[in-house]
Amino acid sequence: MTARQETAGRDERFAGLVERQSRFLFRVAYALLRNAHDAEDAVQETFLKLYRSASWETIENERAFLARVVWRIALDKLRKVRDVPLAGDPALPTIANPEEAAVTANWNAAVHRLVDALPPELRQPLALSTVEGMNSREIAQTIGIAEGTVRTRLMRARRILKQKLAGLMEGRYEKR
Amino acid sequence: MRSDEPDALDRVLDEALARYSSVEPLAGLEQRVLDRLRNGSAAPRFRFNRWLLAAGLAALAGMLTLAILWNRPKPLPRQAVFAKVRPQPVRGFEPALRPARQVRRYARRRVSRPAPLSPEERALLALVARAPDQARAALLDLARRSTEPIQVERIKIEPLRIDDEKQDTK
Repeated sequence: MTARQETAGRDERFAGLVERQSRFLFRVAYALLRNAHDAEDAVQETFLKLYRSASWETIENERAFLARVVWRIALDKLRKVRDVPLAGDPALPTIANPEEAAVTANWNAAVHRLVDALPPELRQPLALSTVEGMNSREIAQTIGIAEGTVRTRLMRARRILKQKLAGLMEGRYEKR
Repeated sequence: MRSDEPDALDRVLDEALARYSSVEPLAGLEQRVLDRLRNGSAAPRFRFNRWLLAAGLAALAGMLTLAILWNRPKPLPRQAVFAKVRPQPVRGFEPALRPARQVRRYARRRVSRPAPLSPEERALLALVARAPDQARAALLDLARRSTEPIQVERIKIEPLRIDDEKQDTK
């Protein structure tokens, strides 16, 4: 086999990897960045880094490995854009009048805002748990914390969300 | 209604969370990634080579500078002292002074040349060449004189006579 054939074969295998994992990586990045453009950038950066390192051919669990890489890249991106204010706790200002109350009928959007307003140590595992097929073990590997910690944080995050959601449903935050 | 609330909350929460990351990327993500790989894989190599070249050139320049400094003739101690002397500004003659850099260059030029012999030194050299014994005796005599204590004869000063002077003026 010539060097050219080897390179072509290698490129083909890498293209296969891109085909298999791009969307999954996009969702992982999006869970953290909440911006499609930034998430795509993170995915591209991940594959570029991987291609240059040439270590991708020896990866055992490519999904877990790639999730970890894209997560770190997304975290770096998030640090760079930290100055941009995140959507704060939406419960207080958004239900100011009947029109806004009508908007909160879209519970999905309200919950997403509540998730965004969680502290990072709770938001990150919760956001990853929403990525299709990611279990506690994979989340722990991706973030780099213990699996038990992931479960505890998920429970705490969920409890907080339920409390706030209940408050929203009862109109607790309505301005009088 | 209250009894249904936890279930409703869970349902709303689960549904919302399921949609939290279910965003699809723009069509053609894989192709864009591969395109960027094709475009991006060549650029870093070039950048690396360019940096390598720049680093090599810098190292070469550094080595040349060191070699030049190393081989430069070292000035003699006396010359070094002379070179350190800076011209002091003289009041009233400031316009005549040269700029500092020019003075330093002038000093360096003078330092690098051996100082010419004075007429006395030349005469001494000629004497040593012509009559070494005589020169040796002269040097010994000079050395002896320089170490001997100087003897000065007593000076006697007579007091002035004021009366005589007055009489003379009259």
